[in-house]
Amino acid sequence: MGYGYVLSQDEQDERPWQRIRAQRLDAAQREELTARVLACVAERFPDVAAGISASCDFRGVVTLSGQCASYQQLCDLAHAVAKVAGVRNVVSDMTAADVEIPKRDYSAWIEAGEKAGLLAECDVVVVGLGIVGAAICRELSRTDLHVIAVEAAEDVATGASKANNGGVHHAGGVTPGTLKAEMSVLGNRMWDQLADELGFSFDRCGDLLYVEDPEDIDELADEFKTAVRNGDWRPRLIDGEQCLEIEPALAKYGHKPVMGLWMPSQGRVNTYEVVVALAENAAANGVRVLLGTPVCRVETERVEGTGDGEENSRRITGVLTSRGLIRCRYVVNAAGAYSDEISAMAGDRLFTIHPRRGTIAIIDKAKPPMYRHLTGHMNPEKKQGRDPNSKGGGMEFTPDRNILIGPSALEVPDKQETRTTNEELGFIMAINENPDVSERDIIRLFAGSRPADFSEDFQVGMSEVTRGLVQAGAIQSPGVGSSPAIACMVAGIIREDAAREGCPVGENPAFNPHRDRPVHLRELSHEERDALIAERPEYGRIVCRCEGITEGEILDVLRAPVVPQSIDAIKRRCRAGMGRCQGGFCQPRVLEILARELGCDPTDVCLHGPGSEILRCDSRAGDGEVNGNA
Amino acid sequence: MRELTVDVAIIGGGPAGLAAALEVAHRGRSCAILERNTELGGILQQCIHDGFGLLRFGESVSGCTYAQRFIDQLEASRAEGARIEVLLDTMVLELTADRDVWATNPTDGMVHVQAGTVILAMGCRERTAAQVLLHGERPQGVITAGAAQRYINVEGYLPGTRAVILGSGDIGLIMARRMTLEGIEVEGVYEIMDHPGGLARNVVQCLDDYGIPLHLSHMVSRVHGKHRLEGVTVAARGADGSPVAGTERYVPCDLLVLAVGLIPENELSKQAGVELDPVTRGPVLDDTFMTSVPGIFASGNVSIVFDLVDYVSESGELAARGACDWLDAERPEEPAHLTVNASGNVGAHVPQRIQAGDTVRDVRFFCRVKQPAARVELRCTAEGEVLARERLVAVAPASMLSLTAQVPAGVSPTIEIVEV
Repeated sequence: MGYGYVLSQDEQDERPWQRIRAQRLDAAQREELTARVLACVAERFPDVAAGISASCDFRGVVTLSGQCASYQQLCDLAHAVAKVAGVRNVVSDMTAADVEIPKRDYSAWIEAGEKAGLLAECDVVVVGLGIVGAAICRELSRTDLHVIAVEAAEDVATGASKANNGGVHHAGGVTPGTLKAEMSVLGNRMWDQLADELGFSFDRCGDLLYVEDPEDIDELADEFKTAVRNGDWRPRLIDGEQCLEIEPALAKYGHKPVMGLWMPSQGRVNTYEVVVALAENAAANGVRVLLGTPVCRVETERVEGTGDGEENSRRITGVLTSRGLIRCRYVVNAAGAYSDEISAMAGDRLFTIHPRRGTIAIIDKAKPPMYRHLTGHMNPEKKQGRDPNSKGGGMEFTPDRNILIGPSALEVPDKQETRTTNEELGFIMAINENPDVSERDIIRLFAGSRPADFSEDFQVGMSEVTRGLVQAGAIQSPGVGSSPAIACMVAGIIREDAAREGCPVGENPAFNPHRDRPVHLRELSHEERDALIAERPEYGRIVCRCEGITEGEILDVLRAPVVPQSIDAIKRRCRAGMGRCQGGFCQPRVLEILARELGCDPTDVCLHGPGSEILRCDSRAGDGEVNGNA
Repeated sequence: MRELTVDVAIIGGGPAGLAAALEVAHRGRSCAILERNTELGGILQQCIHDGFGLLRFGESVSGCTYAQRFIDQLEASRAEGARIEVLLDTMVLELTADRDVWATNPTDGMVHVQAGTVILAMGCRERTAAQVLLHGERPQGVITAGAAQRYINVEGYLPGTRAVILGSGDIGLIMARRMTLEGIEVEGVYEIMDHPGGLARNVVQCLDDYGIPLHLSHMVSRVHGKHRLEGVTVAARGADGSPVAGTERYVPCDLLVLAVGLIPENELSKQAGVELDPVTRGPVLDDTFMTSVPGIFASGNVSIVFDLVDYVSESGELAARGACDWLDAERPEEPAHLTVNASGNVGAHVPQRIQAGDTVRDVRFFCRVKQPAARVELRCTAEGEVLARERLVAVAPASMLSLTAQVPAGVSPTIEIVEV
């Protein structure tokens, strides 16, 4: 069968993302581009075009303002503009008639931060400890740079990194020529070593896409070509029999594949577990981690002899956080959903994040996945109703082999809103292909938002406006798999810039790439377990019944380099409360241990962020002081 | 590593396990109770309300008192030489069909029990927010009734100031009263079904007496608040399960207590290959309370969720008798079984089958009805003959019914509810 595919020289050279990022426009070109943008709006959105205005900067970044009829239309319009030739990216100042787009209020943090004064001085501040920020911290901890990581939330991995399905994706679904495609392929190859060094679960499960109707073969072949063009690792078109060899269970469910695309590069992780591992290893190698420390202003100075908003017109001098000022030379913007705001704070309006919410259901472990590999049926009907900008969504599973179904994709104006709805539940259950699984088997339904920009590509690079601001924003799917490559790219940018500035970056002689895998008693033999308990009796006391987590394991995570501050933070690190009873039995015990270890009162223990104290007051205290009572 | 060999290993030291242990000792056999908590009594220890023991002791006592009476008896019989081993803080990790039990605790490390028979007495757990598919964010302040009970009664903390209760199961009703007494304002109880999930006496004593409204055929359609619960939207529930348009109402609250049902905890049973009944969600039992795996018996809420603890204790004794008889018979061949049929309004029931046998035997049946009904007769029939009957003024799904019948050898009995 002739399914070989050879890249043409053009295809191999194709890096449009670099070309567009290198473009510089003079006044006339900017005017011309603005005119083309407005023409596009007039043609595609005649109902609101009169009220939309546009401007364009020296890079071809278009800023739109005016009012759209709805939030969905706003997204559609900005997406359309982003596709106009020569447009680098879109910043939206637009409003929607049907909904108010919430704005984060930084004033209280600014006030607190200014009052606190100088907090620290360092070389690099990494803003945000999701998977991207944590991977960057770990990469920078190889160097002699003094790095401080600041995270607004009470823990690492609380944004998109908390609520995704942990795919280390193959490159069959990414548009060739994007930075996404490049990062995805480079990142994918780094996971085996990373998992080995950092001791987290990684399952290179592979992905099998198959078709049952010969008419769908072309589409399968297109995905194969995409994978090859992107440089994916060993994608193979295979016949129906080979499909059944790779995934014998297909026959059991009555499927008759006629052709398949086997992509062995696909892998699975628990994203939050990876983030914890990266952050802990970075901290062990000298990165200072500050949780609950939102950035509310980025401090810059004007470069003399430049005009406002021009190329290299500003330089980073520090960040103001709610806990005080940190002076630094570089700010890495890995702020996820807020990366557009951090960039704007630094004087660079490069993109706008429009959160795209996804809802995912976790299924009780008692219902195992149908297949050993990620296995999906490709047919045109399945693609209908899907958001063209979001990858898949389907029947997936965690490395612990809990089935995950989803995610859905819905544009929402509020970055904080991660609620679940009945409609999205319906969408998810329509994806479900497992005849043994129903709504009854859901042990957790949750939602998260993809921090997408309108170019639908990653924004990684040194800011052209503000020197020292290194972008690592708008990272959405396949962001998990790409994150190690993004981290290398960011570290490379800083090394290069520092060398040019005459202060080259050295190595950290004490860097240790290894982090011991935490002890998981459920993985041990009876003898190993017995020996360990003899040494530390707390390994013999089960706290979480559903997942079999012991007090010793909880104490271990509480004594790690990045100390968890909440019940949910403990859950993410050692699975206590993650099982089918969802903490019904163990939450009071975990709360007690957490209060004891952190040395706080039980009424101060939070489920997640500030204001989520579990207990309102001590019922026997008499004075009846109520926690956070408004 | 600790090695133990006993006649009967009892997994769980709640009311079922305690009653089973006493009965095993009474029969002169040895047993070990493996209890994951640091004290015996199970969930009874957080039940400080009364209403326990009316059938067994002829008086109403608190859950703690009920448990303590069994614990005292157990201590007394141990003092008299009964061979009852109690392992606290001990969690069973594995159970095999060959009755090898692997457990862990801080003092012994691993515990290996080789048991002649095993009695499952793990109880049940509560259904959670995921199982009722609450929509909205996932703020703090949504907890199960059992967790609320533990925080208030055992830990001494209040988890909120203004509560809404979803579900009218007994624990929810009890907690409505308890929270009111502790100064938490209870706005109301919302039940998706058209009848209460808990016992009528609890509706009267816990809601009516305190003026707490019960909204039947209602649901919580949305949870509000990002970090802390700020309120819920409640609505009438339509026939298709979705909220009826125009009936939505926002209720400010900082606590949503879930009393939406109990599920037998059968993870160990599944490990041992025990067949489960999709209706009771517990093991398929025969009239000796033996599961589908010979030598493994089940009792209490792990087998079927009972309404009264008195029945839980009784089932523990029945399982203990079954286990001892099985040992006395020196591990007989697996007996042939006949199905127990349930007809009409009879829903969950145990036993689901009886041993074929060759003699007439007393069989104790427990069942629940699917729908409320009035003036009925609960009957056990076989081959057209009524073996036992009991007239009932009213029946409701919340109440467990019981009946004892003498079942002749070789016939398949039927449990039925007949209008009279």
